[in-house]
Amino acid sequence: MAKEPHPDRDLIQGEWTERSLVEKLLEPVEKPPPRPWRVVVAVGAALTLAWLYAIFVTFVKGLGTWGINQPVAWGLDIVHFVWWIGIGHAGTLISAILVLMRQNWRDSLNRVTEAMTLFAVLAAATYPLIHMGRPQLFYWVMPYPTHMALWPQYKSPLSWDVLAIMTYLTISTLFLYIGLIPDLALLRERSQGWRRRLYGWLSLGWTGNAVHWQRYRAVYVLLAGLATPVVISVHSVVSMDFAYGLVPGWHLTVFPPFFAAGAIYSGFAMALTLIIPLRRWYRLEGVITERHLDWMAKVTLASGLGVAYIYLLEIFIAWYAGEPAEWAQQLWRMTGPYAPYYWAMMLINVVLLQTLWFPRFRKNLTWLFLFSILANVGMWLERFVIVVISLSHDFLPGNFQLYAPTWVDWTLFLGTLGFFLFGLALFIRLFPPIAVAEMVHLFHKLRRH
Amino acid sequence: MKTRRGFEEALEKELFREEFPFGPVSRRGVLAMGLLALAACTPVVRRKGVPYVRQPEWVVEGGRAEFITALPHAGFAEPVRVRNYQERPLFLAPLEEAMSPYPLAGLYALYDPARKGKAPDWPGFYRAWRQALAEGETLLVLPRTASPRLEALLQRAQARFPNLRVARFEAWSLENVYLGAELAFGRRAWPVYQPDRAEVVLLLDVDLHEHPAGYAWWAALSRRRVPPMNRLYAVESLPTLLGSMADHRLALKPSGVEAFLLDLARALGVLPGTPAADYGGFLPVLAEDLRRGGVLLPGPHLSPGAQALAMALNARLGAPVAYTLPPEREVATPRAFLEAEGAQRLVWAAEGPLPSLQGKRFAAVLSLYPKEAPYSLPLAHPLEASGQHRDALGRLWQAQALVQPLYGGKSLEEVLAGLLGEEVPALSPEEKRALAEGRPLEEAGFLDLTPLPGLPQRLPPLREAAPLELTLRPEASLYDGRYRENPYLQELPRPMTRLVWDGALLAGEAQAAAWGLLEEVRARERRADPRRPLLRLRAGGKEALLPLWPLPGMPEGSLVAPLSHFFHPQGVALAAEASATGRDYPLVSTQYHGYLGEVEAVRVMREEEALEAEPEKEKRLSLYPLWPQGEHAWAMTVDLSRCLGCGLCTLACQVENNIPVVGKEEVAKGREMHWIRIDRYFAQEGVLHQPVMCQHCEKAPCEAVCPVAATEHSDEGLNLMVYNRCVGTKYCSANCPYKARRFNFFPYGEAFVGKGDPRKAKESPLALLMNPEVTVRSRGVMEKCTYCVQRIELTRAQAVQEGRKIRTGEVRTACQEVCPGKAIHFGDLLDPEDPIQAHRKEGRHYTLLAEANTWPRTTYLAHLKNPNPKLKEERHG
Repeated sequence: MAKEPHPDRDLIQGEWTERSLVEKLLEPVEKPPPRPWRVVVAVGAALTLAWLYAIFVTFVKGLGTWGINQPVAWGLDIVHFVWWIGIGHAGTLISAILVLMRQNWRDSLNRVTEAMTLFAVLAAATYPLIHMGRPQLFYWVMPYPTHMALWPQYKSPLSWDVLAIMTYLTISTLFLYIGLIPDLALLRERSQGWRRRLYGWLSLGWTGNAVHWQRYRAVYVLLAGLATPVVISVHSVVSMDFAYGLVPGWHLTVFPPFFAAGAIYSGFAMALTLIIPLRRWYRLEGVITERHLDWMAKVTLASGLGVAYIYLLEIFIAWYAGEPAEWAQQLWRMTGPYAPYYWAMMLINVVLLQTLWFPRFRKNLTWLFLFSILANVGMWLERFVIVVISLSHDFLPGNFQLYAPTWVDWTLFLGTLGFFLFGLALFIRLFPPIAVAEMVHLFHKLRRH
Repeated sequence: MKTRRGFEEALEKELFREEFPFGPVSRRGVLAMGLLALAACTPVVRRKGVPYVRQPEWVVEGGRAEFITALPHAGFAEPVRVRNYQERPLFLAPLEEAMSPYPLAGLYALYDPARKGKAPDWPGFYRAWRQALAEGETLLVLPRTASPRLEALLQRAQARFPNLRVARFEAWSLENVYLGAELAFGRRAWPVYQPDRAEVVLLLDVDLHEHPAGYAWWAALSRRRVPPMNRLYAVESLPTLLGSMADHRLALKPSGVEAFLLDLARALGVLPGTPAADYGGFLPVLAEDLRRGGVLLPGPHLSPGAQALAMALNARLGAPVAYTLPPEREVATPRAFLEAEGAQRLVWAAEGPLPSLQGKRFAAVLSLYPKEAPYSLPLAHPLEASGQHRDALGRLWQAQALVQPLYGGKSLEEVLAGLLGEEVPALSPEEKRALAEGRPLEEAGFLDLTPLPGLPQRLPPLREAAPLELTLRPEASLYDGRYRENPYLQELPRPMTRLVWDGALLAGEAQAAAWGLLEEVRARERRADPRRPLLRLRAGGKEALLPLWPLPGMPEGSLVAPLSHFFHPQGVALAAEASATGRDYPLVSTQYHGYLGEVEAVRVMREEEALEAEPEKEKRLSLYPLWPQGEHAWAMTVDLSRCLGCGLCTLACQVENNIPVVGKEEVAKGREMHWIRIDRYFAQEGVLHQPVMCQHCEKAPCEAVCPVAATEHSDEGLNLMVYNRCVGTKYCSANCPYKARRFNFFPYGEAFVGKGDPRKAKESPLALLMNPEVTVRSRGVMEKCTYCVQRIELTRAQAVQEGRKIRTGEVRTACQEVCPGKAIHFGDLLDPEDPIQAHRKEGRHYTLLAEANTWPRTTYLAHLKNPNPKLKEERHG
């Protein structure tokens, strides 16, 4: 019987043996790091320190060091919170939904995107904490029994946020960790000294026998099943912070799918931003092929189109609803002092996005990399439009006011960027950025055909 | 709150049975445990105070007392009720209908540690002064005073020290009014108007704070701004608050206003001839309307001729005006400043600008705040000194000292008595009785004046036209600069410009465009860039740099500079030149956007429309059940027809509720803390004002979004803010459609009390200014209007003590108490007697942003206009 060539045979390119593949995949952990890694770590560490300083200033002096004011009570803090949560979406999507859909191309991407999710969500979670007026009392937003019998106020979307984000953080961490266990066992066998002890503890006695594998698979699929709704729910819940509000520009039922689409869009864009240089620096072209990048570009396009559609829908609804404040808000976005932000967002997320329809652009790694960065700039602008521009112009003209961020706001942003890169760089130095066990599994699957 | 408590108890039972080893613990039990623990950790503090053995009169431990006194502002008495809390004056309310904001804001100065200079050496000062008097002529410059006792002391002092010369200084003089009376009636007199008794009122370039009776005028006029309405016309060279309430407004240059008056006099037959112009049909219609029973209210800065014309016109119209003797025995003028500069020996006791003291043989300054001078002696705060003051209606009021001088100050009477080596006599029984009964010591004595014939021949030239006519007018907050040290007033937005902390040169938009500056200013405004072009203003040989603020509705060629920033000894009406300097100065305004567009925030109706209109039916939709209803349902109405946006409510609320002043930089960032914001809009109908504070929504968007339940609803309809529970997510503020919430971005409260340094808050005397019934909010918490919940609770306590219910209208909020137009009404929706029922049934009653479905308890009554059907437009010129 003639063997049908496996449709995904080109997901691993080049001549590999099982051993050489494993050696290649463990290179980032086992070989001295390439130069760019050191640069990333240095820059990341410096920015992290700056971040800590900005948080210190915020705590000591007060929220007044930020640019927020009376109508614009939420500024860059919430912009960045939403931005980072959005970025944290690609990981769970790839790990959970694509597992359930049996997409082979996820295997070389899931680890690094899951790690990206973890650090993005950690970065995001700092904002709601430090943006509180009295951050020392942050635990009041959590449900715990107190002598005053006071619970969080569950009508508030912020209470839902707390639960959604904590769930997401837990699930994405668990996912990352469970997926790591076989690789940790492999590393345990191959390393010496403290690393061996570390991997030993973390691998939970994995020996790779069939029972382990059977249970591992079951847990993995179960977790994937649990995580799938979370992918959609987290950003939907975040969107309700706005959709629940009365502010013109917030009060839209379309927000949950809008935010979910935006999150996947920005998550994939960020994944591209990270993976394209990673692939180059670690010479991973054989396992992260152009086909992988093409797939990612397509998902970016699909989710981006959802976002673009809702941009246009928002304009239509603002007009169609006949609500003067909504329409005034739309005009304010398009013609007010913040109009450049709005139009830059439209340019990127509506116009430039269309280039991804064409294989010529999707295959052009320079453009893809550039666009992935632009897409996240676009998503940043989108959150700025939603949070700041809406608040600066709500119902009563008497309280309109503009917003100007301060150096603390910007340092907090650069700081979380630095923390994110720093964390990721350390992560891939300690743990293989591509799931070795999954890849070997895929390698076998492809060779059998 | 019954159901909530039941709910909590159920929760407690459920929660704590397992966790606590002692079995179910009630809240009381936990409290007791906590107290026990606290008692165990707290060292026993030996308090220094011991209880009174014999209780001094009026000292009530933990209690409140109320006194009546009269506080002077610019020499005129403002009779007030002073609320004391344990010997600390904390709040002022007008004794009669209205008062100006200045005495109220002056409470800050009472405690202000900046008043403390070097320890005053009074005997040394008297010695030096007597020596100067022995050496040669010594000038004593007094502010405007209307105290018979002070005049008597002065006469004795002048008799004993022949070298004592006295001059009276006031930057904003009333001399022209007296001169006008002299022209019209042959003797100096002071007009006392009863504007509520006139059907038609013509406001001649005058604003609330510019006339000593301004606030009282509005109290009277506002009664007639609801049906049956009077009709207001304004002819003015600057958009004024009173003018913004007018049914028809004509904007003219200052010389134009006087020329208009001339034409009006001709039209009404006071002067021969026919009017030179008909002002687009305005003049004949006005003249005809005035005959129905009109009165003219002229600004004090109009020239003597114009004053005389206005008085003659009033006499012709049979207007409700009576005349008294001038309240000042000798008129205070800005010219006294020149005299002071020229004097060899000077004792300066006036307020406003300070003359140069260099090269003088003897120079002493008596002032509230210490000044750079060889002798700088503290004057007592009006609350620290007794005295007598005449009010703008001609009545004499007794003032009493309510606190010992905190910083060693003396009143002017005490200073003069000290010079003479006398003692100021204690209050006489008659004076005490007047104070206790809250009545004037002496009623106004009216003169019987008849207009002298031949006014046309005697009429001096009116104000001359010039390409740029500058009028120096008192600033709404700083007045002539005497309140410069007062942060309450500095940060009280100027009603028309909403500017804080600065004075600006006001000019019309056309004027700014003529200078080529308008476009740049408007472009910067859109970007929220505070920089405004600095102009070099030259007038009467003096020069000043002032930032430009273009004001819609101001005629071309008219310029107004604040007296607090530009003083001229020759007077307030000058021809000016102005040139751009190319430099900028940051001006901070609390309102970024001044046009309503399509938003129906302020409703304007004509009188007949309002009478026909049906009360708006509120569409009430909710998935949630109603809140449990308590004994009362508190609510407020704001009558926009009686509100002219003066800002007294903002100030009273600030004083009552311990609201900090935050400073220019913070206001520039949009972080002012005033719980009441007055929105000012330039609209087709003129300038509109709208106080916006927490609307106490029954379906409050803020309550729904707070994750920690820090903002809650009471069963009496109050939207409560629990400061202790607030973690500062600011979500409530973001979700408030009225943006009525204020956030403590910095430790504003402590910084305010500590005069900029939060660490000094504890030892600052300003801590005494804080109302003990109201929490001083810490950094990081949200705050907002509470409907003066402390007043509700105090009243309730009183009622419970007396075993009765709260009476109709017994609870009065701070804003309501001071409002000169009685625009704010606070009441109980469950009380059938409460006037709020009638307000809510009026056709012009509406809810702000009803479409937001928030069911506010604070509602508005539409602004009414009563335009003359014969005049098409509301705005002319």
